[in-house]
Amino acid sequence: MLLESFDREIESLIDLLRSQGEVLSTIPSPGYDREDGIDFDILVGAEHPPGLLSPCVTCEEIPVQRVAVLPPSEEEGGGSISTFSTPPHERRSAERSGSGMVRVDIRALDDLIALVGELVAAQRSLRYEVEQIGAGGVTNPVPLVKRAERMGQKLKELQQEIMEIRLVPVRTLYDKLIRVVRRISVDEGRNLQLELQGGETRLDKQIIEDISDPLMHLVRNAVDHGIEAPAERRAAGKPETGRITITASQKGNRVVIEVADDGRGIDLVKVRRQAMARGLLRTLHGVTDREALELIFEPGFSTSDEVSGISGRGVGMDVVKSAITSLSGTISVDTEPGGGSRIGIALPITLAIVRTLIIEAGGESYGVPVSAIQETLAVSPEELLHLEGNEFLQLRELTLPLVRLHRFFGRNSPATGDSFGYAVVAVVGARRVAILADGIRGQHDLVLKPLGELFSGVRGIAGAVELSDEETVLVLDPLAIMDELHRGGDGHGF
Amino acid sequence: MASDLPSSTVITLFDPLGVILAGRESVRAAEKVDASSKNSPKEELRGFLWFTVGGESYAVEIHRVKEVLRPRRVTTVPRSPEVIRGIISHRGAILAILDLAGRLGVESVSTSALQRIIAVRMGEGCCGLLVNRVGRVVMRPRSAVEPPPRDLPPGQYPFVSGTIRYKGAQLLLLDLDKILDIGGSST
Repeated sequence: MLLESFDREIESLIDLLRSQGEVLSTIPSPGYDREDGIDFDILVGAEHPPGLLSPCVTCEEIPVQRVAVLPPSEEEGGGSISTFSTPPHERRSAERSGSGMVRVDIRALDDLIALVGELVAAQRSLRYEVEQIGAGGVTNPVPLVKRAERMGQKLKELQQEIMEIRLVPVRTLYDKLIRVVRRISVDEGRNLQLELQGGETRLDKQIIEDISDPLMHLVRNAVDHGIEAPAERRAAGKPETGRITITASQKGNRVVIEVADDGRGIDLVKVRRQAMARGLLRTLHGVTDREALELIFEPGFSTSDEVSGISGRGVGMDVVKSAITSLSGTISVDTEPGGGSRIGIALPITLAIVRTLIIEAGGESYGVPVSAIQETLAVSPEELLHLEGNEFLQLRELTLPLVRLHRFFGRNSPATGDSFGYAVVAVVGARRVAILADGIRGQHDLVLKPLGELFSGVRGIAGAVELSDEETVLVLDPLAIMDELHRGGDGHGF
Repeated sequence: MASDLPSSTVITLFDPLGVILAGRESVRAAEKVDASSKNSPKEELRGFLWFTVGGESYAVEIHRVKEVLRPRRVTTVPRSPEVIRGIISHRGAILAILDLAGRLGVESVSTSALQRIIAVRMGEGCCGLLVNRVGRVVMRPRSAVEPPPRDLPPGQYPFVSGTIRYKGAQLLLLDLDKILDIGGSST
């Protein structure tokens, strides 16, 4: 209701101004005084002197704070331009804006309040049980355990519901993409059709904001490098209008977004040649199509400077990939010569709560994001391979690099020596690493918090989680660990 | 030349955003004049939190202090600068714990029950300073801050911005921004 009146107010103000001149722009401005409202700067071009304009605005019910008149510049032929600021009293809550705000359904808030109410009751009965024990006489711990479990259950529900509030439909991204594609088709005279599916799929607000640019990039690439000119399409027996399809869907605890086009596809021969020219490949022999396709994600790979105009799709794909990876997502590409390409992005639904496996290694506890774990297995020292001073784990047909965390991080050797019993196999994309652990403490849904700026130089650690009042545990960043091993890092450098 | 052109053909490069931003500037400038006209002649007292590290007395401005905490188990972070003891979780955020004795190059007195963590504001977040004990808040006007003494140990020069006197003792006023400027990464 609040939001409705906020929309209406700004609308009626704009309508009013429209009768007086041309409304050139409305942008939300940083609120000057009020916490509970939002200011808008409205730019109006009008023929009237501003003296005539402002009374007709202030007579409305909308409080107009300032009417600043900019000196008419010569080109504007004597017209005047005014900026208005209005502070509607409503709290700003726009799920669509990139302002780090989320629009919340009042019913969701009521549910939260109800849950907190239940928690208060649970806490009270827990306290009652504790008092009973304190008073002596009661030795049966079962009621206490039951109450604690009930409270834990309610807390979990609360965590789940709060996480839900952070989720917004992917549709909010689609609106932006529609505008971009429309602009490209008008500006460049292209025949394009954008098909959007699964707009109701929900994703964390933060992730939505962070994938907006990469997604835009992918669409741009599809237009620039995928979709052929109308004549070429006709010759290939395709409809003249190029088609880009974006599909979002939830698969388990991941959301998959696919950007597909019906263009010419990626020319793998060209990709190989280009990779050779840029030193990414030493030989053309023995490079499978799949491997060649992966090359488009390599930094420095680009086909954009090809004169022929028949370029693959590689412009800044490494940037897109690193943006997706930093969100704990993965990216994949498929192509069919002449039939088009398909880029798939798989993202976690939220980064706010991370399911974390707590392991013990070298006398310390660490967390490993479960999303990055392929499997956990018991190992014995005989199963390790030693090659050129490095250790590896033979897992079925795979030989995995092995990490002992205390050595990797340059920590003192634990008193327990190099004992271990488990290997946690972490996987990111196609890369794997085995992390040795002395023990496994279990899985928890935890809030991952950044370490802060003082630790910005610390690689290999994604953040920390609070396990209990007295225990904070570092969470590993498997990708950074793999990168360092890959570079042959010495375990100390940055 | 331009005046010869009929006005209807003049194409203007118009940037609405630029105009609005310019409008905001002018409004702000007007507000500033208003604010500066009311001056306050009376000097305000400022609060300084007194604490000790390695037997020496120091102080920080109270407005930078968020709270004082009892020490708790610190999780060490590998590859971090040596003066950082590690991290704790506090009020849903991660707090880096700085070994102030190490930073100031003074001998740390062994842990005691009086040891405290002073949580101070740092940019957007917070940082904890490990100190031997926390004293009281001393109120002084700005003019009571004297220049730093000449006989400071060399390691402390960059960090001491002045001194204030309290009951015959001299409290070294620390420049928190310099103390906390550890450079983000270790060596």
